Amino acid sequence: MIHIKYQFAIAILLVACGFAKVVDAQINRTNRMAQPKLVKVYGSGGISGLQSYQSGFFVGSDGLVVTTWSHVLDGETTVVTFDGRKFLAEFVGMDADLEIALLKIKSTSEPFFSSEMILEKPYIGQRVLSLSNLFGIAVGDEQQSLMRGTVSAIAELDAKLGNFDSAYSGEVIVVDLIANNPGAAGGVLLSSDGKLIGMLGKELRDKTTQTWLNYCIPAATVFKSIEMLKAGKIVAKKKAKPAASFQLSLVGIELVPNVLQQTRPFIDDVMKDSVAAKNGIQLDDLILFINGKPVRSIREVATELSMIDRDSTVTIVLKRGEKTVTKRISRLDSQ
Amino acid sequence: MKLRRQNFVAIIELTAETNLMARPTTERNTMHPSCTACRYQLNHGLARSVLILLFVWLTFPTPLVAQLPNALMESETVRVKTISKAKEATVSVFSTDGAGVGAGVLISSDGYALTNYHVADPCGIHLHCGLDDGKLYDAVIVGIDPVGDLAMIKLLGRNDFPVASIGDSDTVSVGDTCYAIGNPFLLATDFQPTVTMGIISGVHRYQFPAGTLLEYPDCLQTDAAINPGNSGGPLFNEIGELIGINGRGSFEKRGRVNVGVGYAISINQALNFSGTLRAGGVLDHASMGAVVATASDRKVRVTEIDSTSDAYRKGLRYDDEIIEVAGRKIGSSNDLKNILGTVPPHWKIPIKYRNAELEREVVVQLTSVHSRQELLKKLSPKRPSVDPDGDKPRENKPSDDPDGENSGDGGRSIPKKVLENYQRRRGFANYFFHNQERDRVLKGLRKSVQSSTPFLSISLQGKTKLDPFVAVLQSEKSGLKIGDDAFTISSESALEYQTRPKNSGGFLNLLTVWEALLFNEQRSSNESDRSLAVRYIGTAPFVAFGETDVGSTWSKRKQLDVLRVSLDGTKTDFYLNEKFQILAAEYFPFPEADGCVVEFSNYGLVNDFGQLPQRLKVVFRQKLFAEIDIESYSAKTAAGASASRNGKGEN
Repeated sequence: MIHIKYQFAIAILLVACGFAKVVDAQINRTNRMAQPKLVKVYGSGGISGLQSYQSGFFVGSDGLVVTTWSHVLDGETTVVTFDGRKFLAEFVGMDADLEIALLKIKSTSEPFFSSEMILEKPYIGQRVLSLSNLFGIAVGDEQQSLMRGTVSAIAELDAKLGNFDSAYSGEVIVVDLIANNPGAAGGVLLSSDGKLIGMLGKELRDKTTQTWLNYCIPAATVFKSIEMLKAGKIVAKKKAKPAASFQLSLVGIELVPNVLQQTRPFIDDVMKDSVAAKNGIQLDDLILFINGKPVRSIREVATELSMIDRDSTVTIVLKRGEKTVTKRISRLDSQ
Repeated sequence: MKLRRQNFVAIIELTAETNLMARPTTERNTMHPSCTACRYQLNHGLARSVLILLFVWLTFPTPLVAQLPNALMESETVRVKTISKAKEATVSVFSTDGAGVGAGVLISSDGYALTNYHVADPCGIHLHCGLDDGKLYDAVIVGIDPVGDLAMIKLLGRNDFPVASIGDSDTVSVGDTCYAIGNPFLLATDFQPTVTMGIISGVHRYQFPAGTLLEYPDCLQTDAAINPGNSGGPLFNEIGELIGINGRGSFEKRGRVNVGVGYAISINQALNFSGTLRAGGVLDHASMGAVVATASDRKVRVTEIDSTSDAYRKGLRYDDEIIEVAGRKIGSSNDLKNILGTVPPHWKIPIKYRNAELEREVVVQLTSVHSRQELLKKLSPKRPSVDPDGDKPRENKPSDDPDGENSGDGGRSIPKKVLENYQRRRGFANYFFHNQERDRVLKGLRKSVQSSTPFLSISLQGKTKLDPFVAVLQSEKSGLKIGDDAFTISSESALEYQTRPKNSGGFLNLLTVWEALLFNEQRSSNESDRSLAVRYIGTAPFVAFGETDVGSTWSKRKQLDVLRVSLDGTKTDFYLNEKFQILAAEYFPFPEADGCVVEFSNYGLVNDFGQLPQRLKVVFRQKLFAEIDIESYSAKTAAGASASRNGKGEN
């Protein structure tokens, strides 16, 4: 007869092992559910450090595959399903803002992620799983790589600061697992029970800290774009530059000479009786923001203004001594 | 658990605060941290708080722990226990010049540990190994597998080392929890290893070799952090069973640090090689003698085949479809590489293939990927054992250094006990361990057949299904008779030139070698024996004649010790079980010849001889040549009298 104390200990051990097994079993189950919905995408690349592979997943019964928009899709694109079948992919469309592309293969029987499977509100601290063909490890019918981590943050991508080289600047879900490796873009981020949280984005490195960001674009955003791509509404939505763009000289502002890589945008001169002068803009003011976008150099000021029509009203935040001043100016005010 | 600890801290802070708050304002204002009296008061207050807390905790334990499920907390307790046991068997490997190199894991209590080849290689013959108990042990190199990036080392000085419990890497699933333990960034300066946790990200991964070395076939992929220094260390499953040897990661532009993709050599692969690694060898990997490719119909077909390979001799041809190898389905050429990469080249493995519409299963002898010279040339010249000049075994001279230190290994001093466990010979990592294994098996074998009186020759009498059978075996001349057909071979001519009987592939030759292996030491003859060279090859599974569906039982098959006996130009491989009984032998008159296989069974005690087989099954070219029941053994002594001995003794 086992002593009651040991019986108790054994019972606890069994319960604990059981618990751990339940957790593992759920992950195993999610993996089995998701794998058939994933594809390996192959195309251009394979030279000078550019990989020729990435990930993707089915988003419709009609063979629609969403993946990231990259050089891989430049030429002929091959899609390989979970069981190793190979298809030549047809290009449906791309959303330049999200940097995603929609492909189509000739198959109508693939399991797919639908918008009903989206987890609308992931939360910070949530346990998540990523599945992707990072480093192109899996080939043929081999399973894509599964990783586990936690949601660290949900925030706007600081793309326009020049920190991250990304066209997308909306909300991203940041994770603590190293999800965004070469080839991982186009993979999925899932909750432990298999709900779709988002699509892994391309590799992004912070130019200041040299650190790599691990993130995904929220599934709802991706699906909204997919709906529009399916409807043929956007094919390429890259922001077009206005025919004539805003220039500071139009409002009577002259900046210091641009001599350095990062010359700070100090105002060198304000024309007499100009819009700027009337609005109280002064010599030696430093431009901090243009229409809410931070500008750290004369070059960034020029880039930002080039996207604004010459007749628009521009909001400029200035630093004057220790305080900040906000001004709204338009060329048309002088008339 | 974490939450609970946080609560604990919060409560301490809260009670301490309440304590102070309860005092009159004036008194509180007079508190000063630098004043001893006040500190005493404060400490006193804290002590009281702790007591109150203890009271609260003991009286109402539930409110504190109720926030997390019991199962979760117990799971953490179990995890902590599992890891602390797993840590004990983990080795931090350091080279003797102080530059740390990696990790390892103990797999036997007498000190055998597995690590990576790329960890052991720079260390030479002598390593320093730290264990979780904080102690540093001397270790010696045992065997290396440069292609599979494995090495066996032996820690010295104890017979009760903690040992990792071994798991089955074929049952690991994607998503399973796992722990990597090792010595990343050489943090284990106190020899306590670092533990990282993750999940299995992929199984049966194939990672290409660098050239032809350091190939990772059929490996496990994990997101548990694997960093430089984790190499050679263990990967454990949820319940602390050893499932792999960590050794590689995917690194690209982010530098040599973990990016969530680490690889471990599967423990099943390591175990396939470990019997052979223990014997001090420099191991090669296997080739089937055929190249395959995944065809457009997604079937794996033979695109090239070497006509001298055993696979070809067993009927495999160009464009045949490979269905299953070693019991595993083949869906891609990587699948085949995954299997071939995990078995030593002296193994035979079952292959199921389809030729036209005919499905067949054959057991194919593998060959080495490299030639011996080629492999040795590729290895680092640092290793004294594979130094091109190190052809001759080196005598282990006892040190006359009073400290027991000896000079060697690149000028560094090597302790005496390491040198006592090392013998140099070209082609071996450590010849000492080869001899140990060979002597262990030979001793066991010869102990089982001791004869009380010396004899000149031994006779076997019995019958096949139809005919009587007699064989007389002695060193100068052997003969056998089946029915009316008689055959002889003589020592006057080299063995390879007299294959007898015809169509048996050399049954009599095999019996001659078998008898010499068993009884050479006990022969009374003064004539010089045929010079037998006995080598321990390692361990391998054996497939008996007529077995069907070998693949389905392949993974559970026991490994047997294999001795290779060379005599004249011939070689014979003997497969022995754990009781040192020879279960089978295969005789090759010359390399790449078809072998004559004899299966020995029905072992029984034969008076004055010991344990001997009473049934022999002779197979040549996959056909049964003869099945013989031995009725008696007898010996001819030096006196010339033929002492007949009882055939079947009690078992």
